[in-house]
Amino acid sequence: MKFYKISCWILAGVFVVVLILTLLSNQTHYREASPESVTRENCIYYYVETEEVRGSDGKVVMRGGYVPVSDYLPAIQSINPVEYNAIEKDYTRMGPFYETYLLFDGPILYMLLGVVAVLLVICVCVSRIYGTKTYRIGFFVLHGGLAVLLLGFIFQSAFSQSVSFILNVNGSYPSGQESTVYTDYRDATKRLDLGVELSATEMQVSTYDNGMVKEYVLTLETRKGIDDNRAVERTLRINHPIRINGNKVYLMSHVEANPAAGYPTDAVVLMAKHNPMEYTILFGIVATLAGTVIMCLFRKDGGDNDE
Amino acid sequence: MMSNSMLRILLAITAVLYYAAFACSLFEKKAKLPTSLKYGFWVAGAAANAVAIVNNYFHNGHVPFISIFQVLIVLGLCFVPFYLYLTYVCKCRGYFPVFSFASAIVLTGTAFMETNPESYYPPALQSPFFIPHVLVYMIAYCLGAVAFALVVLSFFRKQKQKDLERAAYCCIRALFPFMTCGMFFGAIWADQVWGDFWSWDIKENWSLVTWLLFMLYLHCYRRKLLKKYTRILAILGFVGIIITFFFVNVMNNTSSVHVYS
Repeated sequence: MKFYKISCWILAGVFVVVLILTLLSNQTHYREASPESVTRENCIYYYVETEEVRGSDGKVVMRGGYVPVSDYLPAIQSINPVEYNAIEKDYTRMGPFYETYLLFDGPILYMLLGVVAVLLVICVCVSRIYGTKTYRIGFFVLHGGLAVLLLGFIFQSAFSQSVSFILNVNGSYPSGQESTVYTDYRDATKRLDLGVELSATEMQVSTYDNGMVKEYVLTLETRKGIDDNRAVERTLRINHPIRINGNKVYLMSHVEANPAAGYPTDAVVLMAKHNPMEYTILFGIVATLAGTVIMCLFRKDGGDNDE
Repeated sequence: MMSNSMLRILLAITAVLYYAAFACSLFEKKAKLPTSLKYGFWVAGAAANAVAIVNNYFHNGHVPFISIFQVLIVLGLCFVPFYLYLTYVCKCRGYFPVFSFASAIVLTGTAFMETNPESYYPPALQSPFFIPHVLVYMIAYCLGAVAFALVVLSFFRKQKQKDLERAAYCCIRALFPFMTCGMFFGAIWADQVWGDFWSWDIKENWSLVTWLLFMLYLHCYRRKLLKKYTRILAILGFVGIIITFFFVNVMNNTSSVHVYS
């Protein structure tokens, strides 16, 4: 029994150390998309922080701010690489035009989480808990819920699918997509069948007195196919995703029309996500929370756990 | 409903009452003041604080949480139940000055803020989870600060070390559910707005590190072998709070999804 306890503690300790190190390194990084990969289909605006960008002849080829990609591409081709590297570009504010990658969001992290989930299950099975009955129930709810949460998180990484796609707000079908299957605009290998065709018909932007955006309300129309005459109207807002055939559809971003740059209509970036683990994770969250509250409230004073 | 200047005066009175309770508790023995005096000031302060909250409620027409100003007023009153919890549930006596001073500090802060600032929230922040997420984290951080103060005191006052450690433990035990709530409210909200429960944002990661440190603290506290590490873990937890709360914003990290905070 002593050996079991010590090994459990060592494992737990190693896990916590590795997890903390992991968290420190595991941040979302923004990587510059290569100019070749920037096309009219996958990019609308580019945020450039440098005030003025001058070409080799000293002429201003581009001014800072949100630069339409149709202006940006010719401009960066006319300058030399040294100047290109000196331009301060902000990929975080470019709307639908950045790539993210994680340093550690891979198999090792999920293996670690799996180890913890297994440890938690063992802990729930073999631990002898001292305290009131409510406290013991809290212990099982908390650790069991955490195990469910971690397993849900691991399976989510394997089974959930999400695609981001751009729709023009002009009520057109099929919006550049092949039937009801939507393809990610940054990664063509990512596809998701929504079961319906989407069409963005109207975007209402309301603002505060000071000009800041208060709300985006997008009116979407869904139809099952080209023969479907009974299109259904849905409203999509930020913070209020809608469900379409078990997929959650989110409004991620909005880009205003810029006729001068060759973009005559507003465009929106939507994300559709199919996550079979959603309710498992929610269950885990609720159980963990309930267990934590019970354990912290109903703790009798005195006594050590390893007595 | 009060006018802005009346609300400001009320807040100033509240803060003064809390300071009076704090001062009474400090000089109770020396000046031979009756015990009821500090409680009198304190109850009066809490009542004034409650009036301010009710006023905010009627000003908004709904929950009094729409701005940081209003959240801080609620936070000032939150220390009252915490003190009662520590004294009567955990039976740690003698921490009246800490809690009355904490309330006073928070209320002093509100006296210098815009009373009814217009709230220009971007669409992403307009969620029912926004205020609970912020409020429970604020409560957790305040309790973390109290626990940190108690732990630091325990290094210098050897004869009271056991009592101080136990009081810090009670604070952290009260803090932990709030921190868990904050994290999970955030996760559910993130699923609503960004489509993912966890997005490996720098602030999220640091809040998880902080949570793990307090989790370790709670696991170590009742084991004979590990109890000696609890004080250092409580201090590290507070360092984690500071990094999560300030450092991430100070670093001007525009890639964080928590740039608003």
